[in-house]
Amino acid sequence: MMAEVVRLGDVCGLAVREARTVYGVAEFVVPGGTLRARVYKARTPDVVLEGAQVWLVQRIAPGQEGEDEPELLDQYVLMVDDPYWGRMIAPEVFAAAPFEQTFVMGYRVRGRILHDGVPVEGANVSLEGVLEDDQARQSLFWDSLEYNELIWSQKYETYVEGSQVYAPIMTNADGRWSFICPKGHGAIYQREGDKPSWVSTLARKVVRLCAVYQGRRAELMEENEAIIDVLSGKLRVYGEPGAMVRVSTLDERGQSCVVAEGGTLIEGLPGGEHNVVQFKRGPGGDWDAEWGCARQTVTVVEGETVSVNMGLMEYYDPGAGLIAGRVYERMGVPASGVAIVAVNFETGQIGETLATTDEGGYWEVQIPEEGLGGDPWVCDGKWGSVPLLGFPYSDVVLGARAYSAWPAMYQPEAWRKGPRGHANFTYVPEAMWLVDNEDGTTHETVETAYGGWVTEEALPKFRCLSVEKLLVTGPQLKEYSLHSSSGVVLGSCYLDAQPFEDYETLPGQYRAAGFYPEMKLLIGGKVKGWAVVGDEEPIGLEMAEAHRVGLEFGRHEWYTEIGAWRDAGEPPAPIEGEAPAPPEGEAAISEGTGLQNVVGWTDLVCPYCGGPAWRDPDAFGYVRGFCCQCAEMFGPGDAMDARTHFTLPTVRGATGWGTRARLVMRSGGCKSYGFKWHWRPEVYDETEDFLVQGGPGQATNAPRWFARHVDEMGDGKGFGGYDASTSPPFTAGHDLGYFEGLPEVQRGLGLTQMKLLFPWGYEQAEKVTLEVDCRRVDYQVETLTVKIPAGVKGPDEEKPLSDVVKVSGAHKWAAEKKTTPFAGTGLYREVLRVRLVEPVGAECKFRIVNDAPFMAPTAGVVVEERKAALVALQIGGGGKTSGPHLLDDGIGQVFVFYERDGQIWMRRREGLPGGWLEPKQVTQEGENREPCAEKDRSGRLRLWWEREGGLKNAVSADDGESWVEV
Amino acid sequence: MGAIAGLTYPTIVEHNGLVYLTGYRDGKMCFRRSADGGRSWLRFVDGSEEKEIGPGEEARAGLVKVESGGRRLLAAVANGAVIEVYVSVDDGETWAMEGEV
Repeated sequence: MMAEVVRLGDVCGLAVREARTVYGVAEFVVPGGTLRARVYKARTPDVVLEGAQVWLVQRIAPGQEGEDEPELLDQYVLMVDDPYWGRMIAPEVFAAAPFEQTFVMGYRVRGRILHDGVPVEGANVSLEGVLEDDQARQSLFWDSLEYNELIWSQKYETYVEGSQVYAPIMTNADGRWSFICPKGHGAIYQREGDKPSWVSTLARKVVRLCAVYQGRRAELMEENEAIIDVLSGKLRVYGEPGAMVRVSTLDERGQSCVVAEGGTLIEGLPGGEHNVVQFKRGPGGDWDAEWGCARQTVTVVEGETVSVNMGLMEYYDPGAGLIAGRVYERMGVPASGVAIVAVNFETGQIGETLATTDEGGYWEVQIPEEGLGGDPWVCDGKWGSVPLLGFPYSDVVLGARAYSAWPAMYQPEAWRKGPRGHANFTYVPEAMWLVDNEDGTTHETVETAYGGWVTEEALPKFRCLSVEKLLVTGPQLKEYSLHSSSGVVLGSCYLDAQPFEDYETLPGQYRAAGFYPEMKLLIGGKVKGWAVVGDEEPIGLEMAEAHRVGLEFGRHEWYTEIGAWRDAGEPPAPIEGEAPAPPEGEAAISEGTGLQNVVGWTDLVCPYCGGPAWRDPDAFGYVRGFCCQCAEMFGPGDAMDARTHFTLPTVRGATGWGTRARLVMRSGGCKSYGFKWHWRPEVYDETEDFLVQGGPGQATNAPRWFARHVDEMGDGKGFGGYDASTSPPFTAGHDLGYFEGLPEVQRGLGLTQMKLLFPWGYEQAEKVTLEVDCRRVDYQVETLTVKIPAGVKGPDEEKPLSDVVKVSGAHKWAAEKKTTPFAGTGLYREVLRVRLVEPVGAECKFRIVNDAPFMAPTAGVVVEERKAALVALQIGGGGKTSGPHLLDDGIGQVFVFYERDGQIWMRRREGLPGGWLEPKQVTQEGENREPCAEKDRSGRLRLWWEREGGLKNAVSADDGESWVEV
Repeated sequence: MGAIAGLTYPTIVEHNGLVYLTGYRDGKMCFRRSADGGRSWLRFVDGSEEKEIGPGEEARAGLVKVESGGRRLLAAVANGAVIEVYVSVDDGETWAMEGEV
């Protein structure tokens, strides 16, 4: 392996020697003395980083940078380089020995969980962060995900998930926790301030980090203790001593207490908006309508005391001939401009407007001698038909918001697995909404201060009815339904009432209170899957997790970043449809409206139990990239492989999620790849049909789902087989439609590349050449030439996996830049024929199966509520990018030649600043790339380009209007 | 000839004795210029020898010194599914994206 060239500005060095830290120290003895690196995760208190890779980088002499064996100077820097902790180089310029450098590879964040001031021991703490890339696009990530303990299963005779929930970060007896975030270059928690001098811009940085506990968030700053004090809000209410006050969180009914001299302190409140109403009780203990007072809202902050002054109660004399009241859209929000009308039930008429509410929702009417001509009502098209009960003063609330309750038992949780939720996730954007069953109006929800959700708008409680109808039925409640993307959660629900008595009263019915479902809701779904880089290297059993889901080619890259994004545009068309118009990868991320971006990394979460994978280079029995909990339960440190596996934060169920991958290099820069399609690890599913308790490369007998090749399903014929010793040698198999119809599959499989597997104990004696006819999605046939090298083998006693020969050498991700039928990408539905080309009579025996991942026939990734959408990615970025060519013809014209969807295109402009004219397609068929053009002295354009392994050229005598291929 | 570590996918253009070079480095398309055929690289105003044109794919860029219109430099850079065209009016000191092809 070549030594890495390390660049510090314009000066380069060569990484010449490597050492590992022991007790946090690595040393190199060089001419001139000893170079020492002291490596810490964090300081004060000091935590050393054990087993970290430290490189001695020696300066390359000026002018020698590109040489195979450059001259090296006696000047050095030290470089700590770790996949998780990132890269740091010190000192900032090359220096002579001896020297000692201190590296602090992380920053410590810490916090405390309290419950009304009392420390909570063993609390699960998660981290929620916002990443920003160099295009200022932001994504949400989660870390320290909750997971279930492993318990012994008599059924499986192994460890399976139990009900107890833990998180990697948990509080101690004092309610405190801490976590050290890696900050070296390329590390996933790197911030702008962590940017080293030898990097111009960060491809990715953390711009916000919060601790999350049961829906509450506290922003984290290095070394500052972030406190989440649940139900610790305090509200001091001032008012008329002896009067009653009712305090309700959001729009709930609330609890009453007496206003004391000097105010009343109400404790144990959740954060968020609270509504306060002051009232007096009559002799019978009910609301005394001779006294009135304006309602108020106040925002309570957990851990703090806020106050509200309700003032003195106002007296309304029943003998004064005045009626008055206040009308609210919802508790504490006055309904201004609402007409108070007289409804005469004897005549069936709605009389004149008696009064109109002012900005405070207040109204009053002096009763004339002849009377009002009816009872005072609100008859409003939006707010419905509501009587103003109470004489002489009435307090009416027309509507309320529907919301998740603040008690933890009723708060929604994001789906985690099966019937289980994440308590630290209590809200998923756009996952829940209410519908007015009468007119179908949708009411979106937003997150509450304590987690959960609430409708942004106040919902009317009552329907608007005619007087005739009111005579028959009385006021009628409006009916709502609660929805998630998986469908109707509750088909019928109504707003509650706020009585001021210990029992339901009629006036209480006309003070609307919010509805919340007294049930635990698990909302949202997620994208999870596996990602490898490239498709050249066989994965084999060394990468057991990738192999389990069928990925057989690719390379593991630590902490590959995977994102899912979605915009509000139309989803891409299915494979079978006409030319689709999918969002264009990364571009759609910044352009979409209603945008959601979530992001995660491979190698952090166990695909079996959801527990944390070990992240450090040091061991203590654990192995980086393997699950810690599984190591403790099953025994070996490599019991469960979490490498290549990723789980993204919970999102709303929806179609059209796109995925993208990003490799941030510790040496600087990054590579980003967008996937507009849905790539699945077919044939694989998380159902009992695919569940086994063993498999190649698996260190335990944990029950796991394993991918299968098509010859392991149905009648076992797969896509067909070939045996030169039989007649005919080719045995036809099935197309994908057959496998889609199998009971254990029952879904569209899309398109797949094919590969050859060899029988048990078989060894190919000589090189053979075959022709394989494959059917595309449009039923056209592509014939591929396949060469099987001599020496390839089937499985045997020592090697459980067969060697593999791909039918097509094309990168399947080339389809990302094409449209159906994806010609030339090696993606097919069926093998029709196989012919031996040479040598005649050669022995040859194999079967034809699928190569994962498949291009799934879906419009992007489909996320369903309470399910995982499985994605498998071979990250290749759409194949090797073809470079464009610019040409100035010397007479004022500029031409650009470029490749798109495998064809060469051209545009022309009349110099600068003239605009580009309409594009012209130069080539019509085949796979074309790398155009290069010149204009000769006779004014003819000559174009050269690559096509299928060779060069082609064409000539145009009319500035690209027409071309003749030479 | 001076080697340039880490710079790949070169495109060169010669104009009036100056050699202009684009190359790919760490997700970005970069630009250099030389007055001695590439033996050494001219320094820009800020002292650096290399300027960033913009983000790009691992591919060669198109580069041309336009004869008309003030002899500006034009670069076509493959970035994702699009070709982005950049213009420099100061011989490569600064680059501005003009649009997509």
